[in-house]
Amino acid sequence: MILLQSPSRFLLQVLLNRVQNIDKGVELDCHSVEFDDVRYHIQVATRYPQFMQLSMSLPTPPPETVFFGGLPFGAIEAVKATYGLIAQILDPPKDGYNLTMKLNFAKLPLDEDEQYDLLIKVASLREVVLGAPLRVVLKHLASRTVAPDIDQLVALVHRPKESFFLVPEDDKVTVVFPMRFKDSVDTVLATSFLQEFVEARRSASLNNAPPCFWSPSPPPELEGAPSQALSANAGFFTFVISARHVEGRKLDRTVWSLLTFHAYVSYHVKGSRLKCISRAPKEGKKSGKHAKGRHQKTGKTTDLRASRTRAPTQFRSLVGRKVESIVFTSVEWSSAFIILKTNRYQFQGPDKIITKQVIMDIISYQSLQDKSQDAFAA
Amino acid sequence: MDAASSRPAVVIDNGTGFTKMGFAGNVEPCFIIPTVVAVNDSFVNNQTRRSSTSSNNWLAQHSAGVMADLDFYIGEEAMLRSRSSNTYNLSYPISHGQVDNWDTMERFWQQCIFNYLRCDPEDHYFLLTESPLTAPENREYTGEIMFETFNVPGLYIAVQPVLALAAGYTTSKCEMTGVVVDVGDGATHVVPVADGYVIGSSIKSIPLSGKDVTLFVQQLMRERGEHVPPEDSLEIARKVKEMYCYTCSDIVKEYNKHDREPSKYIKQWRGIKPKTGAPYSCDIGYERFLGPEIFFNPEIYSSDFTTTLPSVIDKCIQSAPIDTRRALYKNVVLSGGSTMFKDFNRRLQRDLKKIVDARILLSDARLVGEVKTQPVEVNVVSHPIQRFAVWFGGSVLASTPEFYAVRSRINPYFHALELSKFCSPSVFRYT
Repeated sequence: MILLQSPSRFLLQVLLNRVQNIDKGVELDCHSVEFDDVRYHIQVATRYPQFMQLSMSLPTPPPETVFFGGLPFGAIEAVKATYGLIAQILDPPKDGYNLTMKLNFAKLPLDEDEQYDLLIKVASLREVVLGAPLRVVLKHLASRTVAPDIDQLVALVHRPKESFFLVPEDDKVTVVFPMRFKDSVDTVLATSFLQEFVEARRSASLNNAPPCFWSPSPPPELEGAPSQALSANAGFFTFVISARHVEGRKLDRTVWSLLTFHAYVSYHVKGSRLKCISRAPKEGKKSGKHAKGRHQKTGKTTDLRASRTRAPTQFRSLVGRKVESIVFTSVEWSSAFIILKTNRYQFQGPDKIITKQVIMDIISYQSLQDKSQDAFAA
Repeated sequence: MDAASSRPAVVIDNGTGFTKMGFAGNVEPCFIIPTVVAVNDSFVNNQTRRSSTSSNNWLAQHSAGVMADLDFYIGEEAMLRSRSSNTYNLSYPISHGQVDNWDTMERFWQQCIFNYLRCDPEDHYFLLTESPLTAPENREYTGEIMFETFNVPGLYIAVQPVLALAAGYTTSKCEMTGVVVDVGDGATHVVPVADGYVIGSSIKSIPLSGKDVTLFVQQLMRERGEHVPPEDSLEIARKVKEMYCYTCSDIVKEYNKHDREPSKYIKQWRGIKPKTGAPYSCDIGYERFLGPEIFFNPEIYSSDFTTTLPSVIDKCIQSAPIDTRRALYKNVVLSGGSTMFKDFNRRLQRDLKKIVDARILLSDARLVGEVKTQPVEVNVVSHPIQRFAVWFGGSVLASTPEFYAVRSRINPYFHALELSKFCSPSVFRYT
């Protein structure tokens, strides 16, 4: 799995199961939580097997995002347009949820394929509701206009108390993600991942993909954004979406990819961690020669690695290139750990962004220290 | 109360055959999928061949490797993929209730969390299960993976039989004493639990499990000469076991019944040969009741192990402390998919009762009327959620507020990890 799928597996399974056993009345009351704190609640009563009550709660919005009645703007219209007759929005929603819909299975289309497509759409409720404002902006881009009643800078919620930003113009929409991670190792991996992502975009085969940039400091587009939105420990990632990326059927995929960009990065960061840890011994054997050459330069890192038997010796980003640059070859991976260790004592402060420069500094600092220690020993 | 404890905990019960996963507080697991991973091995093979020739093509090789790392499937999808193409190899990470391939197990968890449950592991507490008699090293390893790769905020590893008992735990009936008969796909354990504590010295395990029933059904069908395509025969035997097998009260009577009314008892199986696409059909006869019979008459299946399940349970209870025995006889709880055969509980109760009554008669005869022994109540409890009783127990346990107090027991590990990423996870041994 490279990209996250739009329909929720759990919802789809429950829906299909209900539709196949429509005559059988069952009592169903279950809940589920997805990434970024989106929650679902499903209720079916035995007496009315053709109805299902589906509630959804969204991540807590930060103050800068615009919410109307607990939902992002355009969400109600989007829900009505997508589901038509089968869904009826209940007002007010169930306690603790942002949206409650009553699905009526009796109104499903009879044709099996159509029916399946519609159920997939119901399972993609997250995309419909959370992606509604993004869809509005991108639709205007497709027709090369700017929505009339829209601000210069649009904030959209994508994680609890976090938002990403859109700068709509008539020929392009700039999307900026402040990237934040809780864990310090995740932050380092994500930073490197995002830089690799930008590198990978430069390859010839991806010429038509939207241009993207990564910067450790807030880009100029974010001028005017509230200050708490301007702190991000893994930097800022920018996509520039132009009209050709939102033509026709591409719109859906663009909306979903942008909406789940953070989850996508976080998934691959976890995947890399898994790979780093599980593959370390094998890779170590393969790149033994290379690693040895490096050890002589920075003796300190060897000790560190020796202390951790399963330490990864080589990190490859998942985007698709071997990293030969200074950031994450064998030694640099362990220096990433040095940073984390020294971070605690020297670079204290959560806002410290780990960049190439910092890594370089650390390595030179380490080797300096080693030299002086050697001199002392001699 | 931190943010993670306001969300329901994730409960994953990894069994040999099936993995049950979902969120605490639900009645049913969100997903029940086969514990299997389809791994693409083509890259590994290519690389060994190519690396000797030249390394100028490293970029292509590398990206192929990266793709191979992402290119794996679990559960039903894995089964489908391996059937439709030769590039995927199936790997079963758990055998006989123990994890033996940690590499695929990690991948399996990764997909469970990100692709099936679609949750962020940092946001939820986790409850995992282990079978009784698991080595502490395995628990350490599980903890290491969960904390180091997935960054979970807290983890609790529960023993399966205790959870199975907790499944019957309601406000009206607070019974945490009983014998759990857990017949899974890969392992069968008889575990006495007194007041929520496993009596470790009395755990009995027998080398017969769901898989053996499947193999026996397959063997019976093969010997009778049914026209089943060989590559599918195990899968069909499994389906026959799940759909048609039942427990009988007496083999001889059952044979007679089948012979008298074959139309009523003999079922038909229809399928399509995977290679040629030609339809075929075969009969399902005596194996319907002979399959589950291996627990009650093991000698029909193998000559190595001939102790019946009821007598193993009896021995297990007899080896438990004397003051718990009556309570244990009273609450024999079934769990695991292979106890789902129709009337399994009734047969087990009858056979167990027979053994107990014989013993009482014997002791009465010895005492010759001096003291009258009180009859022992034997009760085999069966409930409809037996198949995922362990998961349900986990769901019940993890939805109580006490759970969040309990998991603090493992927090030392978490704090130790925070302090130094290099510390040993041996803390897990003492939890």
